[in-house]
Order: sequence, then C-alpha cells, then structure tokens
Amino acid sequence: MADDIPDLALQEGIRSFFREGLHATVPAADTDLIATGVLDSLALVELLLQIETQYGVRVSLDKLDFDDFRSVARIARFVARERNSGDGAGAG
Amino acid sequence: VLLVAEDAAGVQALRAIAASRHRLGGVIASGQHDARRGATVRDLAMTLGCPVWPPEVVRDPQFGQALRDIGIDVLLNVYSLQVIAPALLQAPAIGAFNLHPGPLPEYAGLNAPSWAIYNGEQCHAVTLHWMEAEIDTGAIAYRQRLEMAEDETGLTLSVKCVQAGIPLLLQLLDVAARDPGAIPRAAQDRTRRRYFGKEVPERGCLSWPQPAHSVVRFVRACDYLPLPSPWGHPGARLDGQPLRVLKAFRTWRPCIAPAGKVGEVAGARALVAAADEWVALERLELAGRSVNAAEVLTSGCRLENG
Repeated sequence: MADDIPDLALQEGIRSFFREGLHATVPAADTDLIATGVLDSLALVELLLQIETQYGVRVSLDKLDFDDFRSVARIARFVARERNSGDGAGAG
Repeated sequence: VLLVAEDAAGVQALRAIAASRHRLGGVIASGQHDARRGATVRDLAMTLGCPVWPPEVVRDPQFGQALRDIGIDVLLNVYSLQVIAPALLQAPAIGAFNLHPGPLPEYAGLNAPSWAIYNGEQCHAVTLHWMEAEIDTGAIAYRQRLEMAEDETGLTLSVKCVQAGIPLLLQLLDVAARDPGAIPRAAQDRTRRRYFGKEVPERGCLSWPQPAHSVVRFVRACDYLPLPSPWGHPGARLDGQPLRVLKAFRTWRPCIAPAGKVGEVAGARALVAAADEWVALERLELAGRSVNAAEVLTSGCRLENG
C-alpha cells in the first residue's frame, strides 16, 4: 500500500478492478459508470472492499454518496481526498 | 432470451447473458433510479442496445404474441416482483424461469436471505425454477446450496445468492440450447411450503429480554449496509427517543443485569444486557444520524424495547 499514489495511477488501478473484477470495460476516465450500467449496488460493495484493501481507505457509511463513484476519475479523486485527509478509516 | 429483471442481480444477469453466446431478444425493466442503488437494468440494456419494454407489459396477455413473433425461447425473471400474466409464461418456446434467492419450497416470497438469518438457518440456497401462475411454486430446475457464515448479514448472503445464481442462469441457457428436454423439472413438495410477504418480524422492534443470539440475528438480518435494508433497521428506545441498531455483535459474556441495561462502554461499542449475554452495539441511527453506540449510550442507562 503506497502513499501519495498519483491520480493517473489511481485511475489505472480502479480501471483494472472494473476490467478484471467485474469484467466490465470502462472506455474513459469520465465515462458515467451508473448511466452505462457498470456500477450497480453490489458492484459498489465490491469496489468499496477493493478500495479498503488496495488503498487503505475505509469508506464511512455516513459519507457514502454514489456521485463520488460515478466515474473512474471521481473515484480516484475520492480515494486521494480520503487518503490526504487522514480520515480514511471511517466507521464502516 | 427475454430478461425480466431488476436490482443489481438483474444488472449482473444481463451483463453475463450479453457476454454469453445466447441471444437477448429484449429486456423488461423499470426506469426507476434510486440514488443509493446505482446502475439499473434499464441503463445497461440501453447501453447494450437491447430492446427495452416497461414492466407493465408483463400484465398484458397480448404481449405473448409479441414474444412469439420475436422468437423468444426462454423467459428469465431475475428479482423482478412483477406478477407475469399466465399467457406470457406460456409464450416462450421452451419455458419461463425465475431465479429465487432462497431454498424452495421453504422460503418462498420476499426477503428470503433476511428471513433465513433471522430464523438462524445454517445453510441457504438459490433456486432457479419453472414459473407457474402462483408465486415461487413451479418445479425446480437448478438449485445451489450456500453455507452461511456465523456473521452473515442480509447483504453478504444476498451477494452469495447473486454470485451463485448467475451461473445457474447460464447453465440453464446452455442446456436449453443443447437439449431443452434435459432441463430438470423437480416438483416442489407443497406441504413444506412457507411463504413470506412484506411483513417485518417483530414489527421491526428489538426485544431485549430475548437471548443474545436472537437480538444479534435480527440486527444482522436487517444489515444491508451501505445499501438500503428492505426491513429497515430494528428499533429500540433511549429515554423515550427512538433509535435504530445498525451493527451488533455477540460477546458470549454471560449477563445477569436487567434486559436493556447498558454496561461497559469502550471504544465505539456499548454492551447491552440481553436475557443471557451482553450484546455489543457498535453503530446506531439516532435522529436520522449514524453514530457510534459509545457516543450516545452511557453505562447504567437502559434501552427499552423498540
């Protein structure tokens, strides 16, 4: 688990999760994952587990907002923000 | 294939069928969006370029002719709660099938994973059955048994049902394409049938004089976090104010304090007396806000039944 992961590396890590974990191709970092049917609720749960395992960010249920997960770029920004805030270990 | 589907299970079924060698003739799904549920079946079907019809068509007997015209061999119902007109069930050349997240005939109806946890079952199942006019009564085609973990929640068991159910759908389609006569058809024993409706056990209220395992099972049965729970979360009262218990755990520590009494408070958790053991409450919802139990419960106070 490396600190200070650049945004593009985060995006690539997240895209590989969709590719390998969910067998879903995400054409671009700003593709709307909900409108295109990629991120259903169970996929979100798997993604949250992946984010916790891979990046050490435990998403607080109080803070959970589907909009933060609407695209690969937004997810990467969310993970970076949570890591930088030092508040990654929210109560699950 | 005609897919009648909703929820994440429907999205995942659609994705799996679209990636298989079987041909999707269309999808019936609602267009309802829920900010806490993410992508819908309709979203994905539109992305895939599948014909999409609204759910109301399943109540129209004349839609059966449309299915015959399209050449639908198999109708698959995945987590859609629409009651399909008998004429439509007869329309596919091979048959109509429903994926049910529970063992049949014992767990027919709604919220089978939650009921299984609440009832303290050790194992569960996902069932793919032939559809008849009466809900969840048709002969069983395929069934996958699922072991239940000690700390199983409504969400984790539902995920297991979907993960085990999708391969059953693909197995059915493979057999149907090869030899439709080889699809199993095991009649259900109607004497063992139990049907669960929209009701929530104990009207959604915790009862502290119960054994700890019952209290904790009820909380876990309602736990679909971070997703919405079909039963909501079980309620209790603190100084007359209603609260909901989101996370609770067994401690196996014997207890003789009056039921509902709050004991030790440490970390995020507060121990509350059940009939036989202390129950550790970790997460509560109070006045619409999710909080650690230790933030609002103090040693010596007493929780009342919900």
